[in-house]
Amino acid sequence: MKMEDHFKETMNRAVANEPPVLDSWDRFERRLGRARRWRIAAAVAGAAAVIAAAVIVVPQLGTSPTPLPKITQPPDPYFGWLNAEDPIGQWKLQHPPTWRVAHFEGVYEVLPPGEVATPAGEPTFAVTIARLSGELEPSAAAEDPTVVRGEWRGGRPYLRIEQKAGDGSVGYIYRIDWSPPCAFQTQGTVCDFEPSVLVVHVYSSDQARFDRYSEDADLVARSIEYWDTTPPPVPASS
Amino acid sequence: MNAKDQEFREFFQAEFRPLRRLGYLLTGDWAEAEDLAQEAMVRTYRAWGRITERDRPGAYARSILVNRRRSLLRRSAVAAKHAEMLRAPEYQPAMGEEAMVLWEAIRSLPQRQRAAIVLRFYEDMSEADVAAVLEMPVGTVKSLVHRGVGKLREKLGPGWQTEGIPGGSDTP
Repeated sequence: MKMEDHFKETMNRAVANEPPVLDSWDRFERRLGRARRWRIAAAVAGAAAVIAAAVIVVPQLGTSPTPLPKITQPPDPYFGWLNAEDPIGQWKLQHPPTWRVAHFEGVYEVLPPGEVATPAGEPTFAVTIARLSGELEPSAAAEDPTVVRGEWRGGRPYLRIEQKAGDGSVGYIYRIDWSPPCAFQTQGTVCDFEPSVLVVHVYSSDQARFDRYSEDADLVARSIEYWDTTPPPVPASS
Repeated sequence: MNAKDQEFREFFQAEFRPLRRLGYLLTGDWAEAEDLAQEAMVRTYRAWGRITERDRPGAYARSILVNRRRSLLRRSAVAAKHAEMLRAPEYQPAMGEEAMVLWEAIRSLPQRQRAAIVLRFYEDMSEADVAAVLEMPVGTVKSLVHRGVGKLREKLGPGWQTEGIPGGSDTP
């Protein structure tokens, strides 16, 4: 047999045991329809905001302000932490002052003191952040009973997926819907975008490091919020 | 459903699975393959009026898929770890030891070489078509295939037949 035939036969075998195609057309329509739904939602939200402003703000004009009750604040777990941000990935986070942020090829790593970043070696503990194209829900996650679903800051849906590496490493992944909110859009402008997710991976090569750093690492992960760096549209000249 | 949608749906039904398989051969991960195929279909739909005139929607969708994969690989560190965790073990390829050795060797190729090998030998594309999909000169494709085959030969050892491969023959 020619080697090229070996190639073809091997690749055919590699795809022979493929998972079933179940709801691909529905998923396609959902993916395609999201941009349209966002346009409608943005218009509705804009109208609702105007109405709310009229209802809430206008009656208060001319009235004397009432004193606000004092609220006792719980200790801020982020007190003294530093900020980091990525205008391209459109996120901001906070990290302990002794930790540092490394960056390579669009991927960010937030590292405890002494931990090496990826270009210089393999990190043994890191909170890794990258924005990727795609839907929130990969098909394998739908069948995984350990995946936890919830709502991130700003009402963004997210998944928490436990790490199953099998090499002694431990950790978990937050997979957050990071599509633009399109809140700035007004009627008549196009709010077209590709769906994207922010993948936040709390990774540890061993349990001991995980126990040591995971509390701060989870605070780092949970501090991540959407940063809308999209410039507002230029009003169309009439 | 209008005529465009009907036409596209027929295309989707015929091409989605082959696209997903191509995605798997490039990524080794069915979830990522599904995502790539979906993205390729969305973009193909948006360009449908334009590309049907050229009558090459399948090639267009493959081009989108392959180049999408390349751009995602620039941010591959997280994606690779993430994909590894979501890989469903029940869908690992069922094949003999020899084929598994070759499959692993193909998977270990650098991405551009792997894409060129998959398109050339799995999709049976001509070098010109591979060049169009990968958006690179034909000479570069020849070079990628040549070097890819060379690396596979290196990994597989001398026991494999290499007849008929451009640049891959041991015989004069």
